Amino acid sequence: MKRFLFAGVCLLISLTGCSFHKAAEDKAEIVVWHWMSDRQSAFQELAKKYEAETGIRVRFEVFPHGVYSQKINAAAAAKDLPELFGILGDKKLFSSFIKAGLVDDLTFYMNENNHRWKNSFIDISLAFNTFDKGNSYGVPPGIYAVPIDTMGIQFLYNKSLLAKIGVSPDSPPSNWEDFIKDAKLAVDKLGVSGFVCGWGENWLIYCLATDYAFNIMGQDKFFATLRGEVPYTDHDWIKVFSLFEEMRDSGILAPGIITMNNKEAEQIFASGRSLFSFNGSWGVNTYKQMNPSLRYSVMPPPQAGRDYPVKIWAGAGSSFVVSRLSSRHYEAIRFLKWLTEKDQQVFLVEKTRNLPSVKGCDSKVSVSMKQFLKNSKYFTHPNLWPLNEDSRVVEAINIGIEKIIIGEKTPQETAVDVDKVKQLRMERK
Amino acid sequence: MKDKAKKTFYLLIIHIFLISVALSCVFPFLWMINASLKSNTEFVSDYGFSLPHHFSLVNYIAAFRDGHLGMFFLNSMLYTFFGVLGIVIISSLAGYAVSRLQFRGRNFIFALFLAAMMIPIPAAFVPLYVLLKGVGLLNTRLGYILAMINVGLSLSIYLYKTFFDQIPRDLEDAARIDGCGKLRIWWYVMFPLARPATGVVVIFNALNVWNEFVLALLIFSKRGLMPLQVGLMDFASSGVGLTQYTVLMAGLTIASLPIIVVYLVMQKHIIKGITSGALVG
Amino acid sequence: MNYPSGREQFKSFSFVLPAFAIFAFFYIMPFFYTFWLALHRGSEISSLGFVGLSNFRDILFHDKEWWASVGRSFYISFWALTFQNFLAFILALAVDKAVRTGKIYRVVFFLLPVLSEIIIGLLVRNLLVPYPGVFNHFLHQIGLSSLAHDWLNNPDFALRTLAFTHCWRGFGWGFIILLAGLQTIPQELYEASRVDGANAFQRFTKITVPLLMPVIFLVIILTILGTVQVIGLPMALTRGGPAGKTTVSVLKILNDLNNSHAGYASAEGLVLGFILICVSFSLLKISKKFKP
Repeated sequence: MKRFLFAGVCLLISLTGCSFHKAAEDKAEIVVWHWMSDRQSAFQELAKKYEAETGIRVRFEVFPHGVYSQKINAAAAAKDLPELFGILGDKKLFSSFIKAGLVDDLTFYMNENNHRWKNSFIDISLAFNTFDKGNSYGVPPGIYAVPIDTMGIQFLYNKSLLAKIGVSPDSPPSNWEDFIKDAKLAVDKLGVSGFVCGWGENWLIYCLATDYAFNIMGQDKFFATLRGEVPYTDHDWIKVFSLFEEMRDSGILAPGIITMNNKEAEQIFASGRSLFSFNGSWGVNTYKQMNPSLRYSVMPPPQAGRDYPVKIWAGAGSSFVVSRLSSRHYEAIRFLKWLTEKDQQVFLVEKTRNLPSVKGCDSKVSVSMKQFLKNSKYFTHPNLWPLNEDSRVVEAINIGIEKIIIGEKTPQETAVDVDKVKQLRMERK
Repeated sequence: MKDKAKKTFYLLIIHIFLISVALSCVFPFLWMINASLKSNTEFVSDYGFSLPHHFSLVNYIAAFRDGHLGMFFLNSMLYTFFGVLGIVIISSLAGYAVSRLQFRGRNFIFALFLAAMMIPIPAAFVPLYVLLKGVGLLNTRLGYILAMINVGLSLSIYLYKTFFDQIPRDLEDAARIDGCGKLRIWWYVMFPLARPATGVVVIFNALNVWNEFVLALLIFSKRGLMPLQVGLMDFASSGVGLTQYTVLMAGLTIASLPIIVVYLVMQKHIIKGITSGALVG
Repeated sequence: MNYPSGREQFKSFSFVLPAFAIFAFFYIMPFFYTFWLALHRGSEISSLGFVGLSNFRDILFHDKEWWASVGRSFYISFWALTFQNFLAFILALAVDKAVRTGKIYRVVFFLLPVLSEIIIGLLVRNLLVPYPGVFNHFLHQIGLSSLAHDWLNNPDFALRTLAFTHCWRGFGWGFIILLAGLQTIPQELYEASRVDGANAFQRFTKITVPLLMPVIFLVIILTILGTVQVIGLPMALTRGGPAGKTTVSVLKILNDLNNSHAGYASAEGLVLGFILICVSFSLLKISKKFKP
């Protein structure tokens, strides 16, 4: 009995011993936390390269999407953040981190040497991480994160299928009516779906809805709605919601679209079972892996409203911030600078097939990827808007549109529901 | 004569029923194993429902070589072993106390354990992280094992208590007359008798710890400490842009083997355990 | 209660000490934090605002979505209690009779709980997605085309599909426990009653069921606790869709947590816990009446 207890205690001590030993190792390295599982091995290669060049160890740790935000929150509360980390969320969350004093202001380093670092970036990527003077988040103006890639979310079409229904593969539909017409033809004549998208991931619904909101009512009225000056029951908003009703009624939506995650949607488009799709530039990689012989292209979103341009979400894909709590702060920034140099960006582009965040890598970017940066004058993104919609209202919009698609509500009813939530949230302020 | 025919007929129906349900239970395993033997592009096109064109063990090899499954496997074995050991000892001690010993607050403490089974605390990650950091157990094996022990405490204590309640007091009294203190009674009399309850506790907790990954991701910040499930997920998502489903399946197949072994070993005890009226409320 | 001396009491308490120490650290302290958090709006990072009990007021009186999600959890519980446990019971009875092959079935039926929810979700989703529609194809083959539906996306069916999948996966536990309980009942009782002229039905209702009552209640309580807290399966099968039709209570809590409504999510957790405690308490009272 005594021997058993003794053995047990020895074992426990040895376990604790292991942990102390590990703590000692952590002294001289830069730790980076992120959620991009598919880039982890590319990052690790870069880390090795950096260590060979400078002798400083960099350790990338990846935590899957679902747990990442919880972990960062918890680490922030415990003041235990790593030197570099990504922020998984919208600009509001970003601003909270800044206001809590957790994130470094990088403006000084960006502007050093005649704005050298700042100018190396593609404008829209950096704008993502910048807070302007007088911004609505209450954050002192500055640049607070470094983008490491760029992305855009666009309409895609399958060239071979388009040709099969008798439309020239180089002239995809440019307005909404033609879009619906072509999609219907594909359904009727070819037996494929007209349109597929990963709407199980709600934010893609919001993305499409806002693209067309800009198109139908223009950006002034759009922002006025966010400020609470225009109700969601306005006829222009009902027009936006009706677009989804029209898609439903014309039978062009892929079956099961509202519980589909993005991967499944990519699968369907890659195997030629849908004429149109709506996806981000990360899809290039997936399509290539699933079906290298797929002939597809990007097209500007078919215009539904005549008065204003339709917008496209684009900006930095992922960015890293520097923790203010860390003592190895200067090394971390040095590493970031190195990471965003052309050589490293080109490496990432080739390995992970994402768009670079710095200028001058164009030659290495494949044709299909470059397409996602087409139509750049229409780029926008919630992170670039003067203010963002309350998250509960966004949820209501997404659920409301889903209900329209399954036929449970009409656009008018959804507008009323969304507006109710908006009123409630405005009161709370 | 007619009776016998009737009986065989019923027996036949029963067996057909049993077999069809059994088939539906084995089907997922077959699907998983089938998927693990094919290539990922094939899986993506047929969703895993047709036989592979070429059988290959490529996924298994990849899982061990590139996915470092060996290291994660060892970690999980470590955590499961010590976690279950810890739970069995700690909760049987506690179960014994709540069942047989007298002290102020006994019922209150037991009620607390029961209530914990029912009240989810969604935002617990933050305080947990802060607390663990405070005592220096963050990112340590010990910290994780303790957290895992906590997860299984309530149910295990409940099981042990109800089991101990059933054991006749004479054996205990006899031991006490012989001069045994409480601890000796627990070790020499109660715990051995509770072997069947231990069987249930072992299986239940082994399953939980083995399949766990959320707390591991939260508590650990170094890949080298992560358990098997995390290693599998890592590896499955490592292919750029596309989940390597077939490799995941290979990993999951490997991962389910130890648990099945544990179950096979323990299930005899469970049957005996509940047989002796263990889980009777 | 006749309490022994203080020193004796302390020695007794020390048996519970390790468990209680761990419990206090990993549950009780976070619980107080959660309770404190539930009195605030927002989440830790985005600055909390004290709102007193208004989160609870909102949940109880204004949040239709919350009660809908609780309803869905209990809907699944209902199916689990009836279909799943009924199935487990029937199977346990059947295996009890077919003693020779019993051992194989004992292993096979437990295979499903061994697999994690994620993989079962993945499998069933692949079976039921409209394309390639493997399951519906199978139905066509055996001539039951009229039963083919869009199991995952049709709002009328999605929740049923989830409930059914959960029951199918979960019956293994109930089966094991009930089978063991059945094997507890001494054969002599059955023999004696047969001699007395009792038929199969009477044997079942007068012997089997009463003696099995305590085990049945254990299974009931464990089932309710287990189903109300299910989360992996809805996530993998339908992501809570279509249009939120399979968003069960714990999934809603998790969504709120991820959308920076940590205070609200904590309050929801507490409300759910309270509901479960009430349910368990009432079941306990009822079960006391059935004690033989």
